[in-house]
Amino acid sequence: MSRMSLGQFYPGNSIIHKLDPRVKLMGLFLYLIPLFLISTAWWYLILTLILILAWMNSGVPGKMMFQAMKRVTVFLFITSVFCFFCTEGTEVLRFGFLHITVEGMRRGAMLFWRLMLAVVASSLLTFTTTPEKLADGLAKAMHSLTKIGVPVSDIAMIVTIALRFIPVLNEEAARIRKAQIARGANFSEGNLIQRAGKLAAIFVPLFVSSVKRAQDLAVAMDARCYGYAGERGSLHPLVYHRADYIGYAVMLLFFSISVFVRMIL
Amino acid sequence: MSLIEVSNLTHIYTTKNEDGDIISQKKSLDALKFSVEEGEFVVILGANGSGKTTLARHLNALLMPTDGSVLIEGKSTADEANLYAIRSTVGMVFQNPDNQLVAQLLEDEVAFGPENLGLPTDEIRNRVDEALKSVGLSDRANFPVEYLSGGQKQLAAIAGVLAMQPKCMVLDEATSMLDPQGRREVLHAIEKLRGEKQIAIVMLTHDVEEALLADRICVMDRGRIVLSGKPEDIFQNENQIRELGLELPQAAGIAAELRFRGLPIRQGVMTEEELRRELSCLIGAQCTGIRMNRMTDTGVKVKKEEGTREKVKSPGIWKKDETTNNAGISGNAEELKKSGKEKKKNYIRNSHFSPDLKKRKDGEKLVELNHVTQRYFSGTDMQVVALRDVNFSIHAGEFIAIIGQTGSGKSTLLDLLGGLAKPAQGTVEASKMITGIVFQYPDHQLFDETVLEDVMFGPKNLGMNMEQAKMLARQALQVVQLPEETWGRSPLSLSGGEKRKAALAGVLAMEPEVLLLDEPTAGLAQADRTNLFTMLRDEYNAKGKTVLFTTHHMEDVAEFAERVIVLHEGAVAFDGRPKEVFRHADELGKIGLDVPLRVRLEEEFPVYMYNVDDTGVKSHDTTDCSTPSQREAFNHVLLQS
Repeated sequence: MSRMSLGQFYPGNSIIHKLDPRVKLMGLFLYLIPLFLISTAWWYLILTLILILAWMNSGVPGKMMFQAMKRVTVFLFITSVFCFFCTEGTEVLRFGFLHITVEGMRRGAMLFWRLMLAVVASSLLTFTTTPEKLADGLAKAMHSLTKIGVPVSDIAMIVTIALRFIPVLNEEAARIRKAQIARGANFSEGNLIQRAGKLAAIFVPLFVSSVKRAQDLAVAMDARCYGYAGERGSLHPLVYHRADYIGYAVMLLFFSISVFVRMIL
Repeated sequence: MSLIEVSNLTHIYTTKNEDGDIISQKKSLDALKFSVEEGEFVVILGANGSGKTTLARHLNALLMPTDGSVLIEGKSTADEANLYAIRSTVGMVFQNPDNQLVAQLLEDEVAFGPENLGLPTDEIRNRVDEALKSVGLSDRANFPVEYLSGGQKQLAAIAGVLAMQPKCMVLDEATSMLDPQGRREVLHAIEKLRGEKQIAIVMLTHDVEEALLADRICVMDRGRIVLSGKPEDIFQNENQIRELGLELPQAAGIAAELRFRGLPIRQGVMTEEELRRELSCLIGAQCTGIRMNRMTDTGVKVKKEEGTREKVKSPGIWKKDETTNNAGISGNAEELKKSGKEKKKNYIRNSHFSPDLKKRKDGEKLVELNHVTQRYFSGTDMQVVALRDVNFSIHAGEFIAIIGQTGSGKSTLLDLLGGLAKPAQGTVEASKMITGIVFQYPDHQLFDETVLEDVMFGPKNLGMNMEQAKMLARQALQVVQLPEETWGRSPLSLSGGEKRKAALAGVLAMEPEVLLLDEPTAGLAQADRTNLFTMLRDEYNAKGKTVLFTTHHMEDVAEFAERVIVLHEGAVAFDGRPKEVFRHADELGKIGLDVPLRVRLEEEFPVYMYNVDDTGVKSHDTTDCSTPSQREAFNHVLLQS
């Protein structure tokens, strides 16, 4: 709770927050395609500017963003550094059989840039959209799939429930662990196999309790008429506003330009 | 036509194996008859395993009758076409607050039912707002349910039912997992609904005090309704109630006891107010003030140490701050923090109230806490101080209760005593491996293939060989009185009560010198609570071992604990013998703790209530209760009338 992490929602009242989740999902989609289709530095620069513009309008403090990015940056950096060594070309440095090339460094840097843009763009979506809205948006966006028998609204409900119970189960796991430590269990000793065996003392109670919770919840949902024939209503129906239409228009324009750019390149 | 009409309802749970052959059958309901009229408030009272929950599930068409019928507004639950009509007519609130909430935000939670019915958005919005208003949670509409208290979660569940606009609400043990504060909130909301809305309420409970709220009580036993009537009629027959595994309401129990002793208390006294009125009448009718005084002088030993009481108050810890309750409390906490030294002196005096306790103090010191402070989320803006400057020690052979509201630091204290956490400041000095903790939910620790192996888990972790571990496990299982035929079974197949015993045995087998129990009686009926504590006292404490438990049941504290430590906002507010500590009813009330009815009455009507022999051990057995001088005094009272 005390630290922001990736995928967390940051409450706010910005334009981006207010946009329909479907618009934001589509926006992310239309941003990522050109990002992976075109790989030149000036194109990335344009995409970076667009992202900065969007971020400045989101009301998410830079501090939050950087904090959330910290760990992922390290991971992406390591991934990119691999490129330094794995690309043939002009040699710069050599350690034994490993050699760094100019081309490798260039490719690594570009990869790092690209991945960073993708991650920041995605986290901008999760920072400004509650998990419920996201699930709702996905369900609505994929509504046509119901025609071929995909239970889209059930899937959205599953996602919502999963989100609701993650903290509950987390806390429970901590309690179970404590109860077993109180009985002298030591989960940090022994080799990997021994440790895995000991974890049964945590996983068995956690599993049993999860099943019990699932049963209880199913009964409680039944009791409240879940599964009633016909369309479900909604307290917060997704309705497009003017800003959403403008959002779609801007995106399409951008996407058309990028397709054009890709074709002339 | 009744709103709910249940006739000859039989329900049999059938367990089948993979081939579809019937392995076992258990009859849960047996030709049960029951009905509810519109707007009625019915309590179904029954011990665990009497079939309450099965009945509740039939009322909402969550189960199908094996035989007989359930009609809701004339519609049969057996007909699938009626399913949703019935479920919107009868709403259900379940026991576990966590397992019935679906959404992340409160208003989405309340909207879940109406959304399922496919209602238009405006209608859903109106219903949600109204339902939240009814339970008093309007200001929390956009609050994550995860951050609500247990009581508020149940209120959310009630609001979720109200949003369906049902004609009847069924509450299945809805308060049994709550702390006293949460329970009060929920019961208050139910009382309010009853006044405001024409909605029938069916409340299933094993708590007799809650049952008193009803228009009508139906007592369930072995799948049948065996008694039905007004609360005052139901509790007339004490023996019958006890045979059904239930207790009399506290006030009724005390009234019966007094009547047995010959005091003219009228039949049908159920509530505290009624009993108090009766006792006041006795005083008014029988003794003038002068006579009272004389009597106190001549015989009855009234343990009212006025002097000590004044002294306790004098350091100014509990300054009367009548302005606002909450502000008063936090103010007091500040003072508690500041007046460190004064306080310490005061508590020592407090705990030296009785010679008995002093004697105990001479026993070997096992654990000592010095200036213990504990914090969570240090260094962030969410910092919580869970314990502040706590000082006390635990000696061999003590039986200690720790009380305090939820969030007062009880669990944190147990973790420290159990060696599961280290204090941020101060020291917890204890010899190695002498404490064992039993947590509240047995399900959090039972995991092995058989009960015996599960109980052996602790001893084995202590490095014992199989033989030793088995021996200790057997001993422990015998102490908790778990029948031997269950030892080879999977702990997961045990009943709720048996699981508690198995979990307790799992810690007892490690032979701790100090046994720590975290709310061991939460959700237990009074008879089971008494059994548990009697066992701990006779089988464990009597052998010189120390027992320390946290609880919300003040009656248990008064009856079993020799010493009680009261925590308030992480600081020790009182430490002493229960009798002495409970004298401070006002101060305890301010920090949200009740004094048991019996203790309050003893304070208020000492002449009638006192039932104490010279050693200070209270006896509730009416046959050999009083010392000769007391009996004389009672007779004296009677003669005056």
